[in-house]
Amino acid sequence: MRLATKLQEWIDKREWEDKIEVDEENQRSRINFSYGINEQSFDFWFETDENKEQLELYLYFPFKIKKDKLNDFVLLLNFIHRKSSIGGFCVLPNRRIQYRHFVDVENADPSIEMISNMVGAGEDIITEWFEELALVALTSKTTREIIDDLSATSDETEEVPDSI
Amino acid sequence: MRLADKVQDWINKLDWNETVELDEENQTSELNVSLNINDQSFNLWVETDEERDWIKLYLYAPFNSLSNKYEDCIQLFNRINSKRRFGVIFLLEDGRIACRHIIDVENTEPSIEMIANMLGQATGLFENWFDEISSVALTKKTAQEIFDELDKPVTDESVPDAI
Repeated sequence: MRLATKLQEWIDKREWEDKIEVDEENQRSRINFSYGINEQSFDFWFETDENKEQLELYLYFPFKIKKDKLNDFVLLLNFIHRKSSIGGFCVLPNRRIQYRHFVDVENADPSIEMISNMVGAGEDIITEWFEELALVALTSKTTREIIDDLSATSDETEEVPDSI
Repeated sequence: MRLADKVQDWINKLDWNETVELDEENQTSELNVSLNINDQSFNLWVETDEERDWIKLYLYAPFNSLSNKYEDCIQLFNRINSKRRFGVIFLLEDGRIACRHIIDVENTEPSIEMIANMLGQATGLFENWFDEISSVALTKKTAQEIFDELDKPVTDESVPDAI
């Protein structure tokens, strides 16, 4: 399985001992382990689908959102999406926070760097916004307060085409 | 510029009479076209960045959210993002609704199919969720009402209970 092999090559290159699980029948593979970001242990999943020709990355936060902060938290995610580029966040029904990034590689031969950059992009965005995400998810700090704090200290830019 | 050329190849294959705009100095390119989805005119941007090896796709809805529906839209978009895989849908500060999908193709020769599938995912999002997005963005319908409808248990009413 070409994508599974590529995933294993990426793991081997990082000199990790892990082996991907291969599901020959469904032509899928996956790997799951704990991944350290900001001194926290994230739940890392990388999966491949040979039939759909997809690379699939999921990173789950180590904490859940407080029940009374759900609505406020998704406002923060939307704010982050305006400013970010690759992949995206969502809140699942069980209040877990998921970052995910899928790439369709139909008729292409993805490089190890492509997999590496998928993971790097997720790690970067989580690192960049970790404090704000934790504050809104776990404390009484609101998204409005976060946005006000940020606009007081920086120029607001959106990662969208300038010409619109 | 290899990525810009690939986008142009894709356009040519679609028989669109469009040409990618090149910025040789910054090694970027962009394409902006109107795209018909659900009989509405959506705004499509496809951009490339040769230095970062990025292909970027943005698809904008033809309407803005009413300002008093921003929070409802964002709640709905989280539900949509949790159900979908590729890219994200989000609300801009001025009420525009954007779907974005960016891929990094470092050391990979992207195929035309990869670009076509990026667009297919974005158009699929708006096709599948058009009613929900438009009703929450433009009417009094709330995100919670949409969730209640989506989460309603499916019952087979064609079979009488007594049977």
